[in-house]
Amino acid sequence: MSVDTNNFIVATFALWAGDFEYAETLLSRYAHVPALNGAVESPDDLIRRTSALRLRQLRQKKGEFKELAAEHGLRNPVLANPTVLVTNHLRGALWRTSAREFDLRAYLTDLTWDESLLRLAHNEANQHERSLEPVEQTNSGLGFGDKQPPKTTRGVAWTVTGSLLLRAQLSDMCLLEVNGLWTEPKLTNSDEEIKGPFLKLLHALDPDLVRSVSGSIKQTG
Amino acid sequence: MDVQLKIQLGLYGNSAYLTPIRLDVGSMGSTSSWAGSYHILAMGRHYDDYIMTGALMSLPPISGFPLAHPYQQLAGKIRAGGVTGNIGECVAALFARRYLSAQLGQIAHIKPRRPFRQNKSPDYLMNIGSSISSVFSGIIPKPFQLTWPDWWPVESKARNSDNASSEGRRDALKQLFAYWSLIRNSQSPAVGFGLIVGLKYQPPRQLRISLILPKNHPTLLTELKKGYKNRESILRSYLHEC
Repeated sequence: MSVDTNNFIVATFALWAGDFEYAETLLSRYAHVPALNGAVESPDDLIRRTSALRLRQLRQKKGEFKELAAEHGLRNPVLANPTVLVTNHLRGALWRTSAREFDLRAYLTDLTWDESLLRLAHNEANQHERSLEPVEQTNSGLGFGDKQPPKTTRGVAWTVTGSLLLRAQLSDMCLLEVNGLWTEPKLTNSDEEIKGPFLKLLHALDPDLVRSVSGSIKQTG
Repeated sequence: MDVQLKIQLGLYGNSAYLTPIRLDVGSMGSTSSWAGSYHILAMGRHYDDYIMTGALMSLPPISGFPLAHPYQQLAGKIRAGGVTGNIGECVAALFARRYLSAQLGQIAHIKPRRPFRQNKSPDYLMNIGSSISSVFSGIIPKPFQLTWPDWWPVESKARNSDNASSEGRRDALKQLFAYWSLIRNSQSPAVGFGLIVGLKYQPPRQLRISLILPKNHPTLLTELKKGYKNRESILRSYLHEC
């Protein structure tokens, strides 16, 4: 695949995750590509023009966001960027969605690594509480009787227990969504207590050393 | 949920069945939140209610009763178009990954997402030319001597009934005409090739893949130069079984 195509696809993943700075970095090379108003030279050309459109849309949203942030003023700032977790083949955007809930959306930055990620995720699911499909329910419908593994799909879902309960789901497109629920009676003031379990999960899926962590955990607007 | 998977030549041609496709909540949830144009917070849960369990209540139709009567909301809720739109946009990617063995770098979601403007491109461009002949071998007209293009336009839809699905496929074909019109000068051999992926979500559920192929390529190109808006029926006659 061409560099442009891969860039564009990873940028769409970044936009899905809310990793806007990275998406803009990937798309900014198309800032001067003309709009899609007529004939195109090739499928690659159409992808470049779509990239340019996405970039314009993203920058427009950033402008709107600045105005919104200005209205809130310094006493109640609205924050634009998530905490970004980066491994060798993955990037993840970690958002706080409520007092006790957190949402990590991670995606591949190296698209050729998909089979490895799927394999490692299935391994990880086998070591934790793999999500199963109920085939029987109790009379009230609240409990499960027998359960069985889902029939083959490429993705997989599992749960990691702890103070931060993590429910992870990797899709066929290798998009990883992890919902975290803080289960201790008292909320934590520590970023590390939140980041740690998410990082550990990413590290299990991308075993090389975790490269970097940026930002602090912020609540979504 | 396993859904019947039908492949068909054009909109009305020969068909065959592949192994049913599993459209589970997990796969549909995150894939549709990526591909979908609408902002929906919990696509998986919506998919569960809208498609999997049919948790939405509805009453049987009453003959002679107005369609939009004021009691409708007392009988339950209707599906939000944005949610079904998101579901529709994601199914093509799942099909490509599982049945065409498409790599991530071969699936570009290019839908423009501009409200109130006519779309000038389909939902996806997919580099799947090398997989088409094997997966669709049972329905490809023989002999078929044109060269398969690498990149294919793919339009993806979800509709609730057979009639709505047929209409959806015809609408999808208009998106392909728009794409072919964009590339007709620079990539003329690719004109006339495309896929339409349509999910019918009321039981019996079905995912139908329509393989669009040119029947009279030179004439299709000539006619396309005259425009495609309001000329769909003419252009369709130069495609196989459309």
